[in-house]
Amino acid sequence: MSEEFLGESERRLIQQEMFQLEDQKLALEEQYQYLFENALAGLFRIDVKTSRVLTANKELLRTFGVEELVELDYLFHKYRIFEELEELKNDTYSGEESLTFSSPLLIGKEERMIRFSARYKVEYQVIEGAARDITSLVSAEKRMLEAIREAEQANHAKSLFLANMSHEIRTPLNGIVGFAELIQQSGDKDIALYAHNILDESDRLMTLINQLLDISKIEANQIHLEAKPFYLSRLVRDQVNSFMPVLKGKMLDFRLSLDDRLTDCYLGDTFRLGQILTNLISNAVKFTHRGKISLNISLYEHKDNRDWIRFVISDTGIGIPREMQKRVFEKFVQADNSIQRRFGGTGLGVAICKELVELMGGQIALTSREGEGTEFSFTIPLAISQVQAEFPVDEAEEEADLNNLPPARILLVEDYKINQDVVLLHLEPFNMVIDVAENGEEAILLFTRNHYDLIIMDVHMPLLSGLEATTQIRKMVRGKDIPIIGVSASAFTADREACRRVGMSDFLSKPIRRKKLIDHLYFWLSRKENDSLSRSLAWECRLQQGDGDSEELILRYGEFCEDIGSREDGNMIITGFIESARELMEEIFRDVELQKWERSHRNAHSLKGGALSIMADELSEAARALEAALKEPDGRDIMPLYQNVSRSLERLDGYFEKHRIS
Amino acid sequence: MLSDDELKGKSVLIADDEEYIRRHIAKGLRSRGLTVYEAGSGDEVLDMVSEKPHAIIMDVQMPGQDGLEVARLLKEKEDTASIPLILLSARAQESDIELGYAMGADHYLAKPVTFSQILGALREAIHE
Repeated sequence: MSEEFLGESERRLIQQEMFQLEDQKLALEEQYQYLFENALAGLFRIDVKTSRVLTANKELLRTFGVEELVELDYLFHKYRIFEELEELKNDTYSGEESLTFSSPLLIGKEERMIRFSARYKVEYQVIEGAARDITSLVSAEKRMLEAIREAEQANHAKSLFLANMSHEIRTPLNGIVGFAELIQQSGDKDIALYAHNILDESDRLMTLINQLLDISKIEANQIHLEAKPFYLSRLVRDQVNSFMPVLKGKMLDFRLSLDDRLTDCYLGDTFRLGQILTNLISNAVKFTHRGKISLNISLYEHKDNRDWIRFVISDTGIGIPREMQKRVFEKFVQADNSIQRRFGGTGLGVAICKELVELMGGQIALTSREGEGTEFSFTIPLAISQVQAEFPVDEAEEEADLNNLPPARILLVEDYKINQDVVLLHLEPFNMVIDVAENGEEAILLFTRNHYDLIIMDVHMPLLSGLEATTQIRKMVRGKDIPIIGVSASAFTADREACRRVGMSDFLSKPIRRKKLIDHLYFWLSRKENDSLSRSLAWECRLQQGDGDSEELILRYGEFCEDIGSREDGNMIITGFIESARELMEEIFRDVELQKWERSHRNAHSLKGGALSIMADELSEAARALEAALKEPDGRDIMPLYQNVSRSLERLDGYFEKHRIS
Repeated sequence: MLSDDELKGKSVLIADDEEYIRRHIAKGLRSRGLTVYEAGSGDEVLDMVSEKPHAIIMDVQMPGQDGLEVARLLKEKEDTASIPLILLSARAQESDIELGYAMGADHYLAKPVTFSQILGALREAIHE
């Protein structure tokens, strides 16, 4: 034994040190014991071999509502806590890894949720750990989750209610707008002004409702952005153009600049992008009284196959106070309550812009100096359209039935530039490729080269008329079935018959109205084959229409007088025109007989112009046809055209006598 | 062996001239519920034995009468001979130990010892 080699003094020394260590150990044990006993967490030690609780502190006994260790043993067995803790014997819990679980326990008469956390000390064969009553935590969390769910439900219900209400309000409002438009056209100037005011107010109400609807849609995550090809520059110009009248009225300059590096055609939601631009531009216009507004669009960067495009709308308006700048992006806030009174508006516009920009993956910001102006800028990523958008994209949200033309390639045969433009303009929003031929010969050339879904053919044209061109096209194998819509002034009743005879599918009277044009196109483009049933159906319909729909085309009397400013002046001008038109007609009649083409052409031109200026559409169209024929007569029979003008003039006279209001 | 509970209430006379050692042992015993008499010398032991402790723990090396001498005296007297005696000593030679037992010690513990060794010896001694 090593003790044998220890000297007496060494033994004394070691004895001293040993007892000192024992003292230190004791002190630590006491400290541990104190903490163990007084801890505010329930602590325990369990003997693994006997599955009995070795020690437990006061807090643990209190947690379990017992006074003795034995009772604790009983509860640990009853609620299978020991079994749960046995899990610690698995290898996964070797070392210091601790096990945590929660158990619902019936303590007293209450169900409590107890959370256990324990570890296994293999060398001592004990499990030691802590238990804590988390009932109140759990129920607080439960209450919180419930509160959140309730709040979400309430918010959803609110959004739903808003969406429904908006719709419910819009329906009668559409009625109000519709009838106000009718009243506006009905004649009396004062009444027209009132109707105009009703329409203005209705527009504001509609804007408000639409904005509320947008906000509720955004909140309910119900806005889905489209990704359709569109022409950026056209979208922007359309937006800007719509502000031209008000800009002119307020004598404000507008500068638009578009970065050359931008591509023509992007993929995006034109309706929503347009909405953002409209909102920001209209704010700029609203709050600017002198100076200029500018819209600067530039390429910020090209990344991940997308162009990040920066739009900057700046004005020289009243500006936004610094302390209000953050708040303008919040809903229902305007910089100043007095602004609401002076300028109107909902305070929703900018908030909607922010939501939409963020929805598009972009950011919006504002800088402003009071009294100097405001600058809104936003940057959004737009994918470059891979399909080099052959087709312009449907833009405005209008009546549903005017929105649904299938994409098509159309041949427009029309010699008159203005009429070409009218048709092109009306069809611009749709997915259409439109080729224009100036006359029948050109039409046939284009038809043999390309495939078309439909032809719009003016009846009266130089070189080769629409009737002759149609006859030739119908003789071709490819030309048998293509829908051909004849176009002529509604005055030429005879033309309809002639059109049918040469094999046209349908007939459209001038002046071409948007709705009629689209109705006709929809009718034919939604039918894949030009079957004889469709054709006879169409003709039945068109011939029955007769001239019934053309009465307002004889003279837009109310509109003209409103334009002139007074009914008195209007009456005077119309009376004067009819007199001079009669004289012109007499001159033309004589000149045609004498084959003085140039002078008769000039007179027909004057007649056309005069008719146009008093808004006698039918007469002006008839005169235009006569004028065209007189320009290059080539031995054509002028008389039917002359008689048409004559009949239109008499109809105008009759209509005016019947409807004039002194 | 006795449990701590059974030691409770017993009285022990502890003798060592090294105060730290004596106090350490006394403290340990008192915390287990024993009554402890402390003596710093052999003479004090002979005085305090009149308290009739259940056991005596005594260091051998003490000034004045040393532990062995006191042991012999205690065992000679009739009224103290039956008190169990545990001798502690830094002398750990075989001969020292034999001498201790020869003087009438019931246990001879060679230093260094742990408190629990002392406690173990005490239990055995009282139990016997």
